[in-house]
Order: sequence, then C-alpha cells, then structure tokens
Amino acid sequence: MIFRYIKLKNFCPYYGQQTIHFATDEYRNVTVIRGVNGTGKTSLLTALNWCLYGDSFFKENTREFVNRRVVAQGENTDTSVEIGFNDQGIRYRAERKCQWLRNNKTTFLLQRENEPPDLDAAASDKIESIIPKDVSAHFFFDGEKIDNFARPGNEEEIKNAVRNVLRIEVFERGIAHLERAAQYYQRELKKYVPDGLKALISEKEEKETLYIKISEEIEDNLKKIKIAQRHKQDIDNVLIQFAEIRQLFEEQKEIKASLKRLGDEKEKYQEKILQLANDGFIPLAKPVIRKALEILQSNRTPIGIPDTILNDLLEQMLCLCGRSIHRESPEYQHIQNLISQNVSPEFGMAVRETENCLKRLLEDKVESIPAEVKSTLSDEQRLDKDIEANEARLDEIKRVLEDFDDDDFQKHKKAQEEYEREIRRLEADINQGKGRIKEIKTEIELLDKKIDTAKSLEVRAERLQCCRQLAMESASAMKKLYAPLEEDMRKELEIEVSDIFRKLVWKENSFREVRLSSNYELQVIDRYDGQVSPEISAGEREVLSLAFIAALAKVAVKEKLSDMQTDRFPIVMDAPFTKLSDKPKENITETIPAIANQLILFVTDQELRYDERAWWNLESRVGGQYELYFNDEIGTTTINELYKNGN
Amino acid sequence: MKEKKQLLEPNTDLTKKIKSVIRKVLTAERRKLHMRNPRGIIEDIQKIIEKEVDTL
Repeated sequence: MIFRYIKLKNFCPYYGQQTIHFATDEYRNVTVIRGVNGTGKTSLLTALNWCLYGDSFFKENTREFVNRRVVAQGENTDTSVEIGFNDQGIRYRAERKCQWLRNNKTTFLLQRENEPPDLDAAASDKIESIIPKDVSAHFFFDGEKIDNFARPGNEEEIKNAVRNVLRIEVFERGIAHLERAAQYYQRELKKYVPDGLKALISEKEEKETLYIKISEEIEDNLKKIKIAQRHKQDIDNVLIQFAEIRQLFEEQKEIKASLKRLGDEKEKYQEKILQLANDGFIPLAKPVIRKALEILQSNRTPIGIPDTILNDLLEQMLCLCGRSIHRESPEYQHIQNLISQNVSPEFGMAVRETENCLKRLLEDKVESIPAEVKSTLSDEQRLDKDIEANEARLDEIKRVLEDFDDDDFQKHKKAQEEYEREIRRLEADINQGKGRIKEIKTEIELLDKKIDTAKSLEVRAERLQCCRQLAMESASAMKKLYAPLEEDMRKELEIEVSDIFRKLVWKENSFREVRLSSNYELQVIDRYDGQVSPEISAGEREVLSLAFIAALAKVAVKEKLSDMQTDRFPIVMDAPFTKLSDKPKENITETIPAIANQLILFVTDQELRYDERAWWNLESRVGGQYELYFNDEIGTTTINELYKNGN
Repeated sequence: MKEKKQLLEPNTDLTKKIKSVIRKVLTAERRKLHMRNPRGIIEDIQKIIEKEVDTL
C-alpha cells in the first residue's frame, strides 16, 4: 500500500477542502509535513485512521472532529476525509463522510478505479484485507507509541505486533478451525451405521440362497410330479383293463339276476299253460253250455220279491207301483200269479248263479282260451330264447373271468390312489414354494433398495472419513509447522532488528545485537554479552522501537506473508524525533527511507531543522513537503506545499 | 517457509493434499483474520477439504 493523497474537508482544524499529495516515487519516497505544536499534525494521523478504519479519538462524539468554524457558523456541509492509495498496481479511493448537521450519519466507501464502489461494511472488509487495522497500528503511529514500544513490560504488545504483522495467528486459527472441521466430520460419521451395508448384503445373500433352494425344490417337485403322473398313467391304463373286467363281473351279476327273473317268468307261464290246459274242455263243451243256458233262461222264475211282500201288497190292495187295486184288477191277478210261481229263495239263487256261470264260460273262456294258449306258448318260446342267450353270455363271461385276479386290481387301485395323493401333495408343495418365492423376491427387491441406500450412505461415510482424516492430518501438520515457523520468524526478526538497530544507534560498537526472546522481550545486548535493555536511554529505546517496526515491515515483505495482499508498507510517524539527539536522528533519516516503501513524517521545525545533517540525509529522498499554517484569527489550519517531487 | 515444507516429506498423495489444504486454509484464515469471530470460516474450510478429497 502506498498513499497517493489525503483530502480533508472541514476536518478538525482544516477548514474547507485541503489536500496533501504524498511522495510515491520509489527513491523519493519521503513526505515531510511540518507544523508547530497545535497546528494539526496529529489530526492528520487521526484523519488517516478515521478514514480507513473509522477510528478516532473522538469516536464517541463525531462532532469533535468537525471543524469548529463550520460548527460555529452552522454551515450545512459535510465533514469528510478522502485518501487515494495504490496497492498491487491498483488505484483506490477511500472516503469517509459524516453528515454531522443533518443526521450525524457516517458513510464509508472504497472504490477501485473504474469500478463501482463498495460501501460501509463491504468497504471496511476490503480495507482490512489490504492492510488490517491491527497491522496498520504498527505502521501509522505517533512518537509516544514509539517511546512505549520498547519499554520493558511491553512484551505482549511486541508479541501481538509480530503475530499480527507476520500473520502467525492465522496458523493458530487454522489449526483450531481444522480441528473443528474434523469434529464436524466425526459427528456426521456417527449418523452412519458402519456395518449396515454388510449386514444387508449378508441378508440378501441368505434370501438369494433360499430363493435358489426353493426354486430347486419346485423343479424337483415338478419332476416328481411328472414321474408320479407317468406311473399313475401306467396304472390308469392297467386299471382301464381292470375296469373292463369289473364290467364283466357286473354283467355276470346282471345276467344271473336276469336268468332268475326269466326262470320265475317261465314258471308263471308254465302254470298259466297248465291252467289253460285245464280249461281246454270249455270250447269243446260250447254247444252243451249254450243248451243249458237256454233251458235255464226259459224256465226261469221271477225272483227277487219275497212272498211276504207280495202278500202284504195284496192285503193292502196296492200295486207294486203303489196305486190302489181291487180283486178283479189285472194287477191283483198278477201279484197272485207271482205268489203262486214263487220258488224257494235258495233255489232261485242257485239257478241264477248257474246261469251266470254258464254265461261267463260262454262269453270269456270259450272264445279267449285258444288265443291265450297261442300267445302264452309264443311268449314261453321267446323266454326260452332269452334264457338261452343269457346263459350263453354267462358261459362266455365265466370263461373270461377265469383268469382275473382281484387282489392285483386292488393293489393297482391302491397304488393309483397313492400316486394321486403324492401328486396332490407335490402340487401343494409347489404352490407353497411359488408363494414363498414370490415373497422372497419382494424381500430381495426391498433389500436391493436398502442396499442402494446403504451404499450411497457408505460412500458418503467413506468420504466423511477421508475428510475427517485430511482435516486431522492437516491440523496435525500445521501444529508441527507452527512452532518452527514462529521460531524462525522470531529469529529472522531478531536478525533484522539487530541489523537495523546497529545502523540507527550512535554507539554501534557498544551494542552487539538485539535479541527477541522466546517470550518476545526485546533485549539489547552489549559488547560484553550482557543485557542492557533496562538501562538504555529514552532515545535509544525509541531507536529500538523504530528498528523493530522497520524490521517487521522488512520481514513481512520478504516472507510475503501478508495476505493483507499488499507487499509494500508505508510508515507514518508523528513526532518521531522529539526525544532524539542529532546522531540517532541522522542515522534514522539515513536508514528508514531505504527500509520503508513510503515514509510520511509529521514533524515540528525543531525536530527536523533545515540546517542539520538529519535533514540533509533526508532531503534527497523527500518527494513532498508541506507546512501547516495555523491562522489564529480564524482558528483554522491551512496546508501549504513547500516542496514536491524535488522541484 | 520452504524449509518448513520439508516437514511434510515424503511427498506422497496425502502430504500433497495436506500441503494444499494448509495453503488454502491459511489463505482463507488471512482473509478473515481481521474478524474476531469469522462467519462461515468452518464452512470455507470444509469446502477446501471436501474439494481436496474429491480430487484424491
């Protein structure tokens, strides 16, 4: 970082807008700003810190750095400080502004040339990355700080300066943050079950084995079914033959039954024929019967009305029809005739029965017997033929059945049933197996999904493990590097401080070296190898401080450790020579411009007189010189340029 | 610093990665050194580590 200019507007004693252009030349790199006490030299240092870091001694009350004339006149204007600087070949403009009269609000911007500006927090972050505030404190300082720096008991400040400028703290933070990252990976790792995938794969293998086993069992069972079916088919074929035999048995039985029935029928026919033969005389007696009938019918007596009834009718003089009669009437005569012709009832009945019997013989038997005889004989003949045919078939069946073995049939039948049972059992097993296989297949699919998930988790776990290991190893390596690095930095700084101190101090033979102890105490060693730090003068202490600051800048640039990005450091010193006598002042003005990339000195006339060697040493390197003129009448300071770029 | 790097010899894949991680972590830390509690620094470091692991 190299400052180009500072522009102040109504800041402290500086009324209106005033600018200082700093020397930026590599050789003429010194800017001297002269001013008597109270003209505003320290205000310039304050302006620098306030602009870049918002820091000021008047932080609590921003009105304190508003120009008093402006405040007194109540001017409605801003207070601002603008700084132009170069860093790594890039031109920047930083501006901090306070609208003190309106809202007392402070704004900050940092603008890279030809780019839109960053504002406030973003701008502050960028400034911090270029030259951090804690580092700047060691390069922008006033004389009092120089005096205090090398005082005994300020080891902590020196240590902080080394740590800040040489960026040793980054190691500590890096180690701590790497360890925290490793802890994070450890926590993440706990979310994964390490053996989860292995267990799932084993489970899947078991399922697959079971699947294969059941599939094989099904195949075996299918083969067994085929074999059983083949055997059953053979038995079926045998049993078909047996069935035919069985049919013959049945037929034999039926024929036997049929023969019995036919035999019974034949007996009936024979009885019938016998009966017909007995009645055979009837057709021959036909004329006799007919004659007998005629006789019976011609001599037949009225029958049916008993004598008692007829006598009663006559006594009552009534006709059979109920009419009244008299003795001479034909009806009376008729009834008397009936009484006279009447025979005994038993005889009458016998005559009538005989007549009826003869009639039936004549009507039924005489005509029907011959036809019936013929028909019955015909039927008997047919029956005989049936019996004969049945007997013939029975003989035939008997001959066939002579070779049949029923036990063999039963054996085959039993075997058939066994095979059928076996086939049904095997089919049930196969169905059960198929159901199980379906289940296993679903289980395997589910396991596949789980395995995929577990694999992705394992990949993630493996990656986390690698990350954890790398974080831990890196932290461990940094720890290993840290101590030697700090030691090296300390040693390197020690060498540089010694070298610069010997150049700056006027009793160069009295002091052998400066040591920077492991606890960061600056120790000045005399020619007798004794530590003389506590006894050195205030001037020598100031020289020691300057040597230390210059050495810090030198080592930082040399090691390129500053990820503040910048590789050039300006040194801004306010009243650096107040306690110094001529000789050390001469040495400083000769040495520091060569060490610092840019040197800005705020001095009084007494600190750096034109007629002394210190100025002569410096003059050739001065690229800009200003004088601060305080107008007591109006209470403001004006910046006057005295010297610029050697002209 | 060159001498310090020898502490991480031999130059195996792991030590190369460690060196790379350290370099990047230091850069990240330097960028945020001005912050007392740098926000997101752990995440930045995780990104550095994971990037290195992914290129192993």
